[in-house]
Amino acid sequence: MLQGHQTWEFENKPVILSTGTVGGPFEAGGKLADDFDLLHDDLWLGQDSYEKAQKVLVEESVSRAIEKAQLRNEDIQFMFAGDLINQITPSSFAGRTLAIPYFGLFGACSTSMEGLALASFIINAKGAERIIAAASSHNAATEKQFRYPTEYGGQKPPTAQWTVTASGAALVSTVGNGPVVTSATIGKVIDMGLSDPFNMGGAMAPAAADTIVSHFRDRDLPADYYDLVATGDLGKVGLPIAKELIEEKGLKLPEDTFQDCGLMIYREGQPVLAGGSGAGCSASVTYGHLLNRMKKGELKRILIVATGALLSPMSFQQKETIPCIAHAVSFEAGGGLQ
Amino acid sequence: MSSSKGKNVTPAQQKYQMLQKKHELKRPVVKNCFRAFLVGGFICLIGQGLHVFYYTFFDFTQRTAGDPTVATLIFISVLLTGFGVYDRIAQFAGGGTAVPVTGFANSVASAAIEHRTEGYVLGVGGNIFKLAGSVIVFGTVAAFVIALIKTILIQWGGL
Amino acid sequence: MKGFIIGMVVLCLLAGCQNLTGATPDVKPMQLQENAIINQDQADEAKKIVLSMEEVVEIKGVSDNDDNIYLAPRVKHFDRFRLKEIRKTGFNSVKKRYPDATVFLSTDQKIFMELEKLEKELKNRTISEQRLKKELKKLEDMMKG
Repeated sequence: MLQGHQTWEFENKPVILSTGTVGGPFEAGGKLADDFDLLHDDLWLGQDSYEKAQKVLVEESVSRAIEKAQLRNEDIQFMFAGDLINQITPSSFAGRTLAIPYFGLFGACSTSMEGLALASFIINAKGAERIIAAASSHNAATEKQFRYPTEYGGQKPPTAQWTVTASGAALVSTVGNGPVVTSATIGKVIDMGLSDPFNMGGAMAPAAADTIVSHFRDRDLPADYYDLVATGDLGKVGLPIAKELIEEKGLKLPEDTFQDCGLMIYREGQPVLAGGSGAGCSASVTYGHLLNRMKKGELKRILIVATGALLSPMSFQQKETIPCIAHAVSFEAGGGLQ
Repeated sequence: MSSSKGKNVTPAQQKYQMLQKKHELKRPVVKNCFRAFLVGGFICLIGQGLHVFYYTFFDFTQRTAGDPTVATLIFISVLLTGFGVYDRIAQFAGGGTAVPVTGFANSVASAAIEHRTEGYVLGVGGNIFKLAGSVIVFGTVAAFVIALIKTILIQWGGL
Repeated sequence: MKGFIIGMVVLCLLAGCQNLTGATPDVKPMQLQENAIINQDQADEAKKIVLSMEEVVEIKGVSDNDDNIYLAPRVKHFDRFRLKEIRKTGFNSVKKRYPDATVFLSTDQKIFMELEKLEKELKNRTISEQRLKKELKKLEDMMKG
């Protein structure tokens, strides 16, 4: 169980039985379009508000995951879900429709791995048989809350990131086939005194670096243990910084094994500036693209580090700096009860 | 501001901020200025064209043709905002689209569109001046102060 | 492609500046004299006076039988910053020559165009005194408005 300071090892190997990923129109034009279960060509998803659209994203991703495992909602004991909207209403409202006992989480963009870590812990401790962990974000709903109206013509700096319209859900189970969750490292809230909300990557990089270093230290792993260490949305700015910080601490990850979900999801030429971001980004990329690659045998062991900037529109207007957090979860191919 | 900031920063934060600065993608200021100049100038050219059009073909003088010109520009700007094109032009042009009257129209229209889902009274009515509000407030305050100064100078300074 | 765009911009800038540096030759004002039904002596004389000003490049003007003179000079581009002053000097010099006349002087492009039209019609004798009066009344309102 507890390993080192802040890491859980899951000796009972919780299995990711199935996943569900849903994306919006912008993601449909991206590099990973094939890895989504469902793509919408309408940002509204046929709803009359963006918040309702995000609720639908959550519902659909969870339903997809459950359907793919050929189960019903009643077979799921708990659901962990979160998003970026005030009082996490899209997740909670989806909880209302899905009628699964529900935990609402907020960890900004780190919610995806926060939920998965908690779900795996409960499964590992036999607190439940099947748990859904979901995270979502919606570009327009998030922009509306954190920045300016969507149609407002404000020029964004090149460090700004594009919030992904997507939702990802993973069904974690005690038994079954699929990739297993081997460990999770819970991160500390770290604030390096940056206050520019248009430069999240730069603000979050230290949190990511700290969690990665802690993870390798707690589990006492060699630097080349993972085939891929993917951060959740550090973008073009944050990724090289995190790399430098990690190397400063004496951990040298092999070339090309350190990547970023926010840089994977979009094509060159899509106007996303420094890359994608949002809770739905790391969730959909991990549960879609990365686990698919794992199933194909391209990847054996991966570590996902989802980073979150814990700010609110009010806190940055009050000139507060941006505290950040990162949670890491490691996956391994094949394990479990084959 | 910077001095109060300096007090609260720990050495570790300071060191990190230096590192962060090194990696931060800089705003391409010269390129942005150039683009803003071109696009802003182009908008003004359209404005001038409309102006000439209005006093040549309608009963406006050069002076009064300004009103329909501004109205037309605002209308075009609001239309482009509604079609979701304006923010893309703005990302390219920066200040070029923000400074002319079109930028003001865009800030009002975009806020109205954004908050339509919260209803017409509390949503649209309450939020329409979310961005433009401060322009109006400080414009009025500045006008008031200037008027006050002028009045005082004329009354007692005998200008 | 980039070089092409920069080239175009430089070209545009150069072309744009050309008109400003080269001096425009003064255009002779149209002298209507006996051609018109309504006596234009006052207008013809006033046009000469105003055109003699350094800043004015072109002028249109019409007068009627009630001692009203309507004038619309076109001012050099860079002197447009001093439009108010130019209007005043122009007005005063015409007033000095015709102290009894009512002088209307406007630098508005619209008035210039309208007066040009009237001048032509007067020359071609296609306008009646009544209609001229009406048109001039309209211009007077425009200048005030």
